[in-house]
Amino acid sequence: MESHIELSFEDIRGKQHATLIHFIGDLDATNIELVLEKVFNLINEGTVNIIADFKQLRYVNSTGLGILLHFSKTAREKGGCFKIANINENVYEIIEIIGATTLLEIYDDVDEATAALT
Amino acid sequence: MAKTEDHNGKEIFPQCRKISIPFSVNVRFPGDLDYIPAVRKFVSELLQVSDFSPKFAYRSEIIVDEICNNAVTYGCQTDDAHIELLNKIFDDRIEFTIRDQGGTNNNLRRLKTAVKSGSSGKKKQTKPGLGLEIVRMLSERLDVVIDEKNLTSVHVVRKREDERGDVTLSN
Repeated sequence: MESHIELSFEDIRGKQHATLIHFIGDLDATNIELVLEKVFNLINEGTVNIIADFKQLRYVNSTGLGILLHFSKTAREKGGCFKIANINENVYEIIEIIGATTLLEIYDDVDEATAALT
Repeated sequence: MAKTEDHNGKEIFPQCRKISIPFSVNVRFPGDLDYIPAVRKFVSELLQVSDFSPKFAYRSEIIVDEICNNAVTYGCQTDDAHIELLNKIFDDRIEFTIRDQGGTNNNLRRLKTAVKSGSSGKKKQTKPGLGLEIVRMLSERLDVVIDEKNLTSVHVVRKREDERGDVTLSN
């Protein structure tokens, strides 16, 4: 049975082509296809500025991290960004181990990430 | 003695009442990624009822996930292939041994490259290498053995953390 993950979307007021995505649950190899599809649908519809709220994201493995890097790269290529907010210390530790803290834009909270949107 | 309640006071693993540390639990599951979340969560709960910290359990969950993912992805060629995970729980550490059913030559070459590049400190990582790098950093010991029948066995030792929950990340 695949891991439980829920994504909910919210427009960011006052910012163009910008969406806040709340990640809830575990992100791993069993559910990345679902997450890829939902996020790429959004990007393909023109939303290139994305803030990922990880407040309720309990777990990420290396496969999940791979797609986060993929989202970040794709958003940048389309002139936007993929920012992460509210990351918990366990998830941050894994990002740190693979040396991706400089590749991903990480913020303490959603307000800080929103303020950094151009 | 293993604890029989989780952090909410709910009774779990009542059968553990009579089990004293050290003990072993062997898990055998089909070579399919969909089984891994249940297996890693089982190991996490097993550790928490054995009085290891939630942090230790979380990091062990990651280890089991990464090693089992590699085993399923690179070491299961047939529909009926399965993975064996042996958990040995001691007072001061846990030891995992994961065995697969043998990979293709291509997959084994990738795995060997990943093991080599990780131990030589090279930065560029292959897909199995990324998971192995995480395991290497979260454990005290990681051994990968590929036998003459192309069966892969991965052995991981992870020691209990101190009271603060800190762990020294291995280089």
